Amino acid sequence: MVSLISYLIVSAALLGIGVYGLTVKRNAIRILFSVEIIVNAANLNFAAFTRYLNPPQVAGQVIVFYSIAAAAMEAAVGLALILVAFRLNQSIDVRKLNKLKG
Amino acid sequence: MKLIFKEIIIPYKADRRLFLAVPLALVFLAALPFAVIPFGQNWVIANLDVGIVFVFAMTSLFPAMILIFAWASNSKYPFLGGLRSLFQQVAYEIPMWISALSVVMLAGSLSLVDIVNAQARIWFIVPAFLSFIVFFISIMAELERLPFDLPSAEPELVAGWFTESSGAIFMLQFLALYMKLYLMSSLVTVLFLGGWWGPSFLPQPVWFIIKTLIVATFIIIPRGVYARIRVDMLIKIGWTRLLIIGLANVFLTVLLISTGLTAALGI
Amino acid sequence: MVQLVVPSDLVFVLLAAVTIIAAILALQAKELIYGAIALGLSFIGIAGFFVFLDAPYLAMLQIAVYVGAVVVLILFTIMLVRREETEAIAELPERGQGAIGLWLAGLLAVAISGVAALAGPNLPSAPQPGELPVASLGLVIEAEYPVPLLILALLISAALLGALVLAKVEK
Repeated sequence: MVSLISYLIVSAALLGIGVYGLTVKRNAIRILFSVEIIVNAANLNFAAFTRYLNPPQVAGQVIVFYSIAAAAMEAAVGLALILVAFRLNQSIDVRKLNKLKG
Repeated sequence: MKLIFKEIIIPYKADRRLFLAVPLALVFLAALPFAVIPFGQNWVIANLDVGIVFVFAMTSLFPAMILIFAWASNSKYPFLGGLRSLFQQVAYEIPMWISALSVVMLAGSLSLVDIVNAQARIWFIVPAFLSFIVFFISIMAELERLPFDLPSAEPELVAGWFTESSGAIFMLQFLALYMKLYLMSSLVTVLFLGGWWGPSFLPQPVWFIIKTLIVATFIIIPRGVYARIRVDMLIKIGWTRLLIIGLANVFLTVLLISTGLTAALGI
Repeated sequence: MVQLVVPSDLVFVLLAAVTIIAAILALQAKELIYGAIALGLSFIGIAGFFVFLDAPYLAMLQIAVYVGAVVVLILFTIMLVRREETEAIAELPERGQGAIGLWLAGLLAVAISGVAALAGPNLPSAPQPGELPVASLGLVIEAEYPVPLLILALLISAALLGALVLAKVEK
């Protein structure tokens, strides 16, 4: 049977990937990808713990439920922001999007 | 048959890999939910506890596939058609889900087998009549059947989002389309028409197939009857009117359950 | 629940490989659209994990919401933001930055794994017995966490309005 640690390792790996993307990438949309990957890693973590605790805590699944909904909304708003930023700056390179004016 | 042997023409700047992969994926997605649909008391491949959510999750993947495919064609007409088709399908997902919600509340379970079993005494089309109508209309919109098939309207945008498909690719898409048709029809049968229940002089699966075919016929019939509806009006209807009717039915269902009428009906 | 024919360890490793590789591809793919598709694949992998963890409802929800909606939104945005320079040409960051990013990520991953491994003897090595029926999710939400549900509803409305307002085209 798979042990809890395996899930945690996968989750940590995803977190690492997400953080890497978050710090390194210049493309705003790829940064959004990274955020979603991180949120998914956290969801996986929660879901794993709900199953492996004794007795299984359904609360973990509730958290994942809310997390999925909240992350979806945040992605929608984030994408809208990217659209607006693109219209104003003609670029989605985050290095060029560093002026608060406009 | 002839379609298979026709040469597959891929547009010049189109994206090769996606072009070939997406139709395959579409057929796969259209076929997969059949595994959870019960044809008879013990005639189901996989009785998932969340059967109906599974079907809806799969159907929600169609618009994504269509979008990818439309973009992969890399030319204006299929792309625009793809966008319109996408809007249409996305808009009608929610009324679909809400009308199914009424059924789920009546049956008390997300499992398709349980839903059919709960209809032993009375088909859900009776208490959930509004939902039935909403669901039926939503299905026609999802399947892009007339009077809702503007994305494929011939005189308008050539052939819509599968303009560039040819030969085997077109055949695959056609296949996926018809599989979806039967999938949706059988869904209507399961949710509203009592699945496999029927007088026992015919075996259960036969009843199921009969009902499904009748539903499919009713979906196909309006093709020659009604005029087309404009896409923007269509989308508006989906998001507003149907949504409200669906919600109204949910409230109605709550009323029915809480006042014990459903118990009287034997559900 | 779905019956598994192959040994579950093999399936787990496969799922993990798909999810992680797809995540890496999502960030590294040369074309944004391929990256989005890879992201969708990664989400499907996570949904597979949810199925493994006796959370089939969450798995379906994940697919319907993330892959069915979020990925579609992302694809939309990518298509609306197309210019020569937005293609992922030369995503290579300056040398220093790339190395820092890798070190940071690696450090995090190793640190977390280390903490998990240290607590090793205390961690259960097999799924605990006990049922997680789907209905329990709804019951728990209703019984113990109704308020967050309402807040979530408000939040969804607010986000929807916000996104609409932001994306409105000024004619």
